[in-house]
Amino acid sequence: MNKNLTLVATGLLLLLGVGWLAHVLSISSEGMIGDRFGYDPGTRFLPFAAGLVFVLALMVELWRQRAVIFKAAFPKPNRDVVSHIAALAAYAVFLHTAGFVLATSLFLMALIAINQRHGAGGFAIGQMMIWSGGVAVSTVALYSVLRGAVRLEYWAARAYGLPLLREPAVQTAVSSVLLALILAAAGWGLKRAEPRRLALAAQTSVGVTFALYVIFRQLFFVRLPAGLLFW
Amino acid sequence: MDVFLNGLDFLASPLTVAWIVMGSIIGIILGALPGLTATMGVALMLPISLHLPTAAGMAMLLAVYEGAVAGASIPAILLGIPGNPNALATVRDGFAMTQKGQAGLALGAAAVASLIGGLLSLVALMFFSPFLARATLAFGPAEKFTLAALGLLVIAAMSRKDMARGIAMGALGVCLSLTGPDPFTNVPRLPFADYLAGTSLQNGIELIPALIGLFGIAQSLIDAERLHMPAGAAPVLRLRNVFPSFADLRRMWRIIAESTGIGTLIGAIPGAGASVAVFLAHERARDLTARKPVDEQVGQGSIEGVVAPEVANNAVTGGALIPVLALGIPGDAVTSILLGALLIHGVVPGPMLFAENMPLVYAIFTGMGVALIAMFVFQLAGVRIFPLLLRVPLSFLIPIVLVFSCVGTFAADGQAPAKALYNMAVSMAFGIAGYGLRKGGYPLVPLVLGLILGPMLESNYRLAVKLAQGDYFAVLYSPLVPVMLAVAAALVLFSYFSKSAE
Repeated sequence: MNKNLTLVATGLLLLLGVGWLAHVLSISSEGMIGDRFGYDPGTRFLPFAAGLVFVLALMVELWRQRAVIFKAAFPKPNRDVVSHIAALAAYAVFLHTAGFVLATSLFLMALIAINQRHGAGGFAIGQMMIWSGGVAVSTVALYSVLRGAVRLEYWAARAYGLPLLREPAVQTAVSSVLLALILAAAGWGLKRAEPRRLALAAQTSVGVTFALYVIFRQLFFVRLPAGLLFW
Repeated sequence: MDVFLNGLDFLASPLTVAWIVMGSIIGIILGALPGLTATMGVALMLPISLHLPTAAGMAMLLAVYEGAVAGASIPAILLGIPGNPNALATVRDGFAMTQKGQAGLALGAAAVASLIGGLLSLVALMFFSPFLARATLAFGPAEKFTLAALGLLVIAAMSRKDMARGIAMGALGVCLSLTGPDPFTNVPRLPFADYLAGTSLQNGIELIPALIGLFGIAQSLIDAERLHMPAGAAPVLRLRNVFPSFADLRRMWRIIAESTGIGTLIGAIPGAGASVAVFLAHERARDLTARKPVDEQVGQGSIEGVVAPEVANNAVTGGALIPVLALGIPGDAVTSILLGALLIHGVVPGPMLFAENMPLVYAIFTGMGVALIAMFVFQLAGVRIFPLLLRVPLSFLIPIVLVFSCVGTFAADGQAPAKALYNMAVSMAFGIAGYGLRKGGYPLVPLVLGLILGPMLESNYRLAVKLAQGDYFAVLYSPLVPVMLAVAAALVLFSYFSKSAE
């Protein structure tokens, strides 16, 4: 364990604890309804007590680390961790505007490609951009195919009196089979594509994105942001 | 009998069974991949469980839990790397068996042992939890407060070697759980209310984003640090004679029985954890095989050295659920999430659960049994696939887990996209904070426990003080409190000595 990191964490937590105590003292303390005699300890009693325990425990911890306090340097952040946090932040920002399907597939493609640089057999940034473009195009195409399939099921249910085709479980099953077939075909088609790592990253990105889409959107009706793919 | 059949009725749907099977498979895969833990798996599947009926959702989460515990033995046996701490003691004999060319037998023995340990501990869970729950009928607000406070204190005191950090994290969890409005007066307590009052944070920090952040995102960031390390070569194995013979199992009856007892008991003790149980079971098996020829003794690549810890770690799963269902007090991170899942589903563990909702209890027990069988089938069926599974690189796994964490958080409030986006931000903040805390040597389990138990602590304390007409020390006067204090002290001492021995 890095002593610098422990010290920085303790210091930041202590600041948080002091801030919490100050905040709790600023809350108006009220007793519960019907407490005419003032027996209830009030709104801020337990938050204050917990905050006090928090700060005292951290002071004990800081006292233990006193030997390294004046020698400690601020720890250097790990580049991989920073890149993942940055990618997560970008994902959160673009999720609403770009929509779940596009944002997720591009986030996965970018992060897997960035992570791949540690292994042997590198690739150029240009190649990565081209493959990312390919992911975006195939994502839009696959989304359109799946939406088309769902509309077709609704139409068939209406036209031929097949209410089963309106069932979410059935629609999910149809989409899953369709998705598996398309991905298998794409995998076969991209068998010799180079660089191999980017081809795998692209297939994984699209596959995972649509697997999540089918489970959460089609089966559980989660309102995933549509973004640019409004149809 | 009617109640039992009603319980079965909760699960009698092909879709429920399919979710349990899927939970088992996901659990085994998560357990098998080094770095991914049972806690992370259960946290990631929590949002999906919210979209299922309570019994089905809980059974699926239990399937993930049991699968991940059992799956951890796969890399332990094939690569000599435990998938997670549950398989720490399996490494020695399991990997030695692989080197002797008995990988198939080791994997098969682990699967059989996991099933036996899980089923026997399920019997213990079914037998003991109603009794324990009934005993808690004597508890008033003072006893409930003391129980929750001591549960939190015991976990905090047992975290790593550092009590002050554990206590600080427990207290932080309680503080964070109290950022919502006062439950009795509705007075807002949110910091920076001018900016945050209009957001979904005004009701306090929700459990799901916090759990997913702390166990999904934080773990992924920790794993990201290992990206530059070279990946180990995937093992090429000849897998034959996968099943241990019945004669072998009969010969090991004492090891199986004692390991089940150790696992169930240690599982029921808050904070002790599976890593203590597996070492105790392994040591006990070593004693029991001490008179055998040297190459058949535990530690030299013997089947007993695989069976004992695998029986014990799956027995922990049943034992760990006893205090959760009976008292509403979780003993570790996974059971904290399971308790959180129950509470989110509107199920309050304790005596009333056993008195009023017995069909649900039976459904959970039955679901656990089905999950164990599914886990066993897929652990055996997947024996030939596991070596391939271990080739999946971290560079692919980490982004997938991150996306799953984000989407899972979003899906928890999937019908309110604005709130879901806030939750995602909370999850990310908890993930980054959790990463920093873990790097700084601060344990996360007391933090989660504080988050879950905080509201229970507050409401019971205030009720106890009010009932005692304003006496702030009312919680200390109950005749049950000295008993609880003695048990808590014994637990801390037990954990201290058993971890020292480990």
